[in-house]
Amino acid sequence: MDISKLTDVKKVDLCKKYFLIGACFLPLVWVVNTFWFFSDAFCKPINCHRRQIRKYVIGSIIGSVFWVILLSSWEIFFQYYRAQGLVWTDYLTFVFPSGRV
Amino acid sequence: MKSWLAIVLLIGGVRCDGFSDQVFKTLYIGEGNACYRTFNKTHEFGCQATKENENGLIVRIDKQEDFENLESCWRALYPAFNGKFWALLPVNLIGRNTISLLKSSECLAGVILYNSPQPQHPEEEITSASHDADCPNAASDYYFQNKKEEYCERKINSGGSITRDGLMRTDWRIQMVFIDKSDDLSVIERCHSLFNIPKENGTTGYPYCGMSFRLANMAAGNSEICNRRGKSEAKLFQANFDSGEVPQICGAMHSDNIFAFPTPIPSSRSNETMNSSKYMMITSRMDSFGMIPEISVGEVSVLTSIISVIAAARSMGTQLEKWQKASNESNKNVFFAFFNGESLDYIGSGAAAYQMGKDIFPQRKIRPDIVRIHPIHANEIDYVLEVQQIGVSKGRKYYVHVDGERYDKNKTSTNKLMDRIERGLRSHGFDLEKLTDSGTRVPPASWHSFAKADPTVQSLLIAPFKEEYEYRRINSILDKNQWTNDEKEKAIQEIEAVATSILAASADYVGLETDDVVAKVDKALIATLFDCLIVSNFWFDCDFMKKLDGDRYHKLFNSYGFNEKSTYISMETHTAFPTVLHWLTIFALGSDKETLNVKSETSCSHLGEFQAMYTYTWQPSPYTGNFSCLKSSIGKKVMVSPAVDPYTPEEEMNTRYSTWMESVYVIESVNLYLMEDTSFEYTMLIIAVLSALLSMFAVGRCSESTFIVDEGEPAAEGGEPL
Repeated sequence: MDISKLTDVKKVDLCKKYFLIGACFLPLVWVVNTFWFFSDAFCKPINCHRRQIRKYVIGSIIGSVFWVILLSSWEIFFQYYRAQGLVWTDYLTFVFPSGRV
Repeated sequence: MKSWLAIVLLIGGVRCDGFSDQVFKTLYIGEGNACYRTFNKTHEFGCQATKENENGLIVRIDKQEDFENLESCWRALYPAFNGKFWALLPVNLIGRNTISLLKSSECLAGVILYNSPQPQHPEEEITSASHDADCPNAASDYYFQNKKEEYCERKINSGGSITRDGLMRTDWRIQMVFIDKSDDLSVIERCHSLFNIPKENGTTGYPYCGMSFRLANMAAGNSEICNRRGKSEAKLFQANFDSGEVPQICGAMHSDNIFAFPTPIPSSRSNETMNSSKYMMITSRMDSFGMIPEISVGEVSVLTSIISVIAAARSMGTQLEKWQKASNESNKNVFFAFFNGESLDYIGSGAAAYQMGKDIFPQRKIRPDIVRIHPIHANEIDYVLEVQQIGVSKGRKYYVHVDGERYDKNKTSTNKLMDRIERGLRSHGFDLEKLTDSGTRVPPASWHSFAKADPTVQSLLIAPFKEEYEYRRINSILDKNQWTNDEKEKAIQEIEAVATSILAASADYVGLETDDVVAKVDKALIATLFDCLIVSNFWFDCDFMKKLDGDRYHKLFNSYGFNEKSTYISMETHTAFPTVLHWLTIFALGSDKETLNVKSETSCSHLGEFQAMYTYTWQPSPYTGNFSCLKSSIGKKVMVSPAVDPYTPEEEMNTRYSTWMESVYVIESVNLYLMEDTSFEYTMLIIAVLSALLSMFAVGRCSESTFIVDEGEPAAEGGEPL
């Protein structure tokens, strides 16, 4: 989809939809939303529609950063304890490594 | 057609199968001939292939001085080589002063072990080779568990152990492979001598003879982790696409234990309460281990003691009526127990003690259609009479070990039994020292399992050592003695003396007069068993064992382990020794007096149906080779340590029972190949790329006419006659 051909109203609508979809535990949609509408939000002259887009993009950025921090923390935490072969980490493991704990 | 051809060529080209035999000289390595991973509750031990230790240049370590090269990583000999090395090393060079070098070397990929052509006698100081630890194992010793002493307060093997905590408990960074076949060994030696020996001017250069080997274990960590991961409930999401089942990554070490009851124990048709009997358990361990387990024979660790017990059992078996009558009158019984897995924290005796506590020993399953044998409890066992390390005494002296505290509570009867043991030994010219001080501790023995289960079980351990082992090769690859004729004769005398003392003590226990007839041991049988089990290369090489086999063995077993002479327990009961010992026990205690009219194997097996106490075995006599139906009360039971037995409901992993497990592994063949300098590989790669480019250009410029050589063909295609 080439969003440059969309009107500002439709862009706001699309950006809002993506923001709301991302809020359903889909951080990658927020990331896409951020990249997709970043130039409209911050690199073009401001108007009332772009102000709304900016609001959703900032929300998407915050949400994405939150998820990045959350997932990274979980990954570090899980891998640290998984390497010790604990019961709960084994329970959450999909494939056990062969020849390694 | 062309597309099919292209696919075939593509697959053939990718697999490169056609070239491997031109690049590598492959030597097949049988399972069990390499070091692999084992576990206890807290640690992993053994070897594992990694990217760093698969490939290496072959070097030789033939003598002690060659270890200096290991320290310098052979840089003086191979200055241009920066990779790792596979060291060709005779087994007897693994010792106290070399083990740290092998463990710490940064440039060693692995060692290729082989039996030295000049074996060293165990008496030589340098050959301390025991893979056991200096001290009794804290995980299984009765005294540590009851906080009666600190770890390593009492040393028992400091003269023989290679490392303080035992070589079996070493986690190696390197790999180890044992070359058994002399042809394979000579191929490696030839490869080394052709390419890796420095020239006369002291220099070496590419190409070198290299080797690759890989043994990949499935499991890691410790027995608790690998045991858990082998269960279906270990993971939230099971994704086993191949079979739908959880793949086995490790297994508990377990094998058959043999129990033989010369005198029948009480039994009944119902669950009525029966009068309890008292028992003396005559025991000997039937397993040993080494770094390469499947080549660990355990001559002194296992076999000599087993022979003495078998000889005593045979003597008892020839006069069973006398023994049975005496037992019935005194309500005291003796029985023989050959425990497996004793060298690995008492797997067999631990399981037996556990079963005694659960009323399921010796009869595990109670069926309404067969009689119920009165379960034996640990508190009914008066004595555990064990023999160890027979045949290697210094001088002509033996020792009997008791637990000082328990002895003090029941001196009279124990003294009487020890007197009988002494008389038995003295009748063959051996002395006995009784270690009965109140602080006396029992060395590692099966008694510890039963001592933990009941406070009254007493120990009578007959052995040729006092406080520390004299023999320096207990539980090792090198527990293969170089018997001189004199040593062999003395060993046979010791076995005979110990067998006599077992008989004398047993007779006294059940209330039988220890006359000459009762205590007569068949010396010829001992000599035969010594030749068959110790001197022969395999269990069924001698005439006696061949006749005992009666062509049954190879019909029953065809697996790799059944062709190795080993007493290692393993996780798959893949060793022949339990079967060998089972047949020998049936020969010793079985009788055909009541079954002379049975003339076929089928009728013999029918007799055993619905029997709880007795078994009927169609077995040949080792003297004549003639089959007969032998009645005996001998059971061969697979026993798994309760700590790792999936059928043990309420027990969890603990330190009371053995937790030894073994990883499932994939073993690849040894590949010998020529190593070239890295620059050579780059040159060849550039040539290959250039060749490919040239080929593409050449083919790209071609047309159909390029390949028409015959000048007549275009004309023919034009319709002109040829």
